Amino acid sequence: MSWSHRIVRPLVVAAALLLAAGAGAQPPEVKPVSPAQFATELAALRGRVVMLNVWATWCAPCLKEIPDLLAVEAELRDEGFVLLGLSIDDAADAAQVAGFRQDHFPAFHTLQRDANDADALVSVVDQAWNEVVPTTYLLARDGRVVRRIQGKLTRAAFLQAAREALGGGS
Amino acid sequence: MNRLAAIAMALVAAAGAVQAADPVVVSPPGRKAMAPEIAVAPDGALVVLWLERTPAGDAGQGNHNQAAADLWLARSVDGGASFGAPVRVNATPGAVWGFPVSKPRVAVSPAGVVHVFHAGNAQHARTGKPLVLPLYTRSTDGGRSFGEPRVLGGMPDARLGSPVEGSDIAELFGTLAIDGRGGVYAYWIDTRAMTKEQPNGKVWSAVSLDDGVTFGAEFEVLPADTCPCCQLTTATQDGRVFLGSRRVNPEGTRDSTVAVSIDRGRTFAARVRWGGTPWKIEACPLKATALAVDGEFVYTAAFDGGASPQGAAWSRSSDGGRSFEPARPLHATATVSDAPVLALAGEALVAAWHAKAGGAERRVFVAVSRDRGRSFSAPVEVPAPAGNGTYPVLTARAGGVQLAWQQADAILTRYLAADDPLFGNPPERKP
Repeated sequence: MSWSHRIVRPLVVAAALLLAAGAGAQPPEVKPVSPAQFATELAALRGRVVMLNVWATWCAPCLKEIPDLLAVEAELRDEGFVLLGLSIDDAADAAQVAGFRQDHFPAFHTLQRDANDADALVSVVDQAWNEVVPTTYLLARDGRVVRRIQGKLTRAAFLQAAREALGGGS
Repeated sequence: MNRLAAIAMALVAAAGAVQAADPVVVSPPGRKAMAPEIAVAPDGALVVLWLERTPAGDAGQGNHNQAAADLWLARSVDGGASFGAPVRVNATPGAVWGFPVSKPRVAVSPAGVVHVFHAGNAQHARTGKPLVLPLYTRSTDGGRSFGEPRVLGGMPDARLGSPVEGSDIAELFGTLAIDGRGGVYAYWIDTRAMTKEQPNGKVWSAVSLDDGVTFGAEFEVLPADTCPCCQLTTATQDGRVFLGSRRVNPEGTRDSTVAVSIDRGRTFAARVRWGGTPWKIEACPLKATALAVDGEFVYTAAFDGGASPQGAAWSRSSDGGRSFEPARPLHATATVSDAPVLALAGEALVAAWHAKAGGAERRVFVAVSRDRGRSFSAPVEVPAPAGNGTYPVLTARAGGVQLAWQQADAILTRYLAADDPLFGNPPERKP
């Protein structure tokens, strides 16, 4: 085997593995969003079931559940399921949120609030949000909120809720 | 100016010193202000404190903490009709950590000392990683200048290795009260003991008995079963110190509690649950337990998360905090109501909160109880400009209450007399 084969072949194999895994691609950058931009982001996901997770870097229960949510996403991705985060950390801290995401949950696709008022952002999906974090919403394929979950559940409970949303999605 | 005109102007000024029916904007225009607190000085001056996000690039000394903020204080000597130029309390820009549900506290002692307690950004001496520590500072010139902040808690030896265990935060969500006898009582949540298996906070305290000149060593008040992201509250009366917190019970409920100390904060009796519905949730509810005390009547208000529907509610004790009556909603018809606070206006008890009721914006509402907390009047929206009105605060003043809140990105305040027409149905007056 030539030297070029010895180098190139592993790279090709690695690339193929990454493609096969599907999750190999880095999620989009942490994007600050206004309420209008957030609505546009959600509209772009119509056709898939969305698990929207409202979280913050200082919220310990949030940080405990994110690995479980990522596992649920990995299991159901091929069924048209997507996990989307919405950080309510301070609007001025987008760079820090991005660094935190990169350090701890690099596969987590999350948006970040771009205004002083987190309620205006979450109100895009829930006018009655009570400012509890984490709050996780399941949105059907047509964008309707079909379930609100507040607080950490077990991975199995999140998976079951996601499967129900997939089954009930229009 | 003739004498009649001078007298008329003086009467108008005197009236304004007690009542200002229209809200007054406290924060300068163009700022992003939030999380107000208010206090009244013994000379009648009104002190308003609030947070602002530190402008990009201004955060000092390589600060890389979350939530770099500044703390501003403005003073009114005409009953809230106008305010002087605000003073930045923290000398180093970006030194303050906070947001509306973990906000700084202010109190003014009978000697006129302005006490400020807040969470502050720091860096771990060994690792350089960001920390949040409980800081205290005081002003002896009515809030025109402040001394160097003092760290009331110890520098935590945080593990800082995982996003949950030893996360970037350590000592925060605190509160402060004074007792009028030189006592200054500071309490905060300490997250050092948190692990994945034990994700709750402890409550620690430091007490000064000389009006904030010196503080004793920090000490543990409540064990590691306290909601780590629910701001503490405290109140004092007649030698007692009351501490409001949310206890995380073994079954997973996070319920508001009140504990009472009769030895100037050294020890507390067992926490007593308020009258709300048990709320089982593993989350950051970000819900404080408001307190007001009138003799043996102890009033609490909080978000009743276990109730259906959820929302702001109040609960009353008539035995000094040894037991509480069932909580009742302050605003049952609202889409969502939250962040209730209480204050006594003479014999009346005033509640304020924010809610969505018939619209997409949150607005500030008030109600009054004239039967020692047995019932409250119907909710009334406080007139204010368009935009979200949030996180009201109240303090007793001139027989009524001074209200302040965040209106969009500004801080507003107004006076409410106990029989203010805003409350409707003023009490019958005997001839």
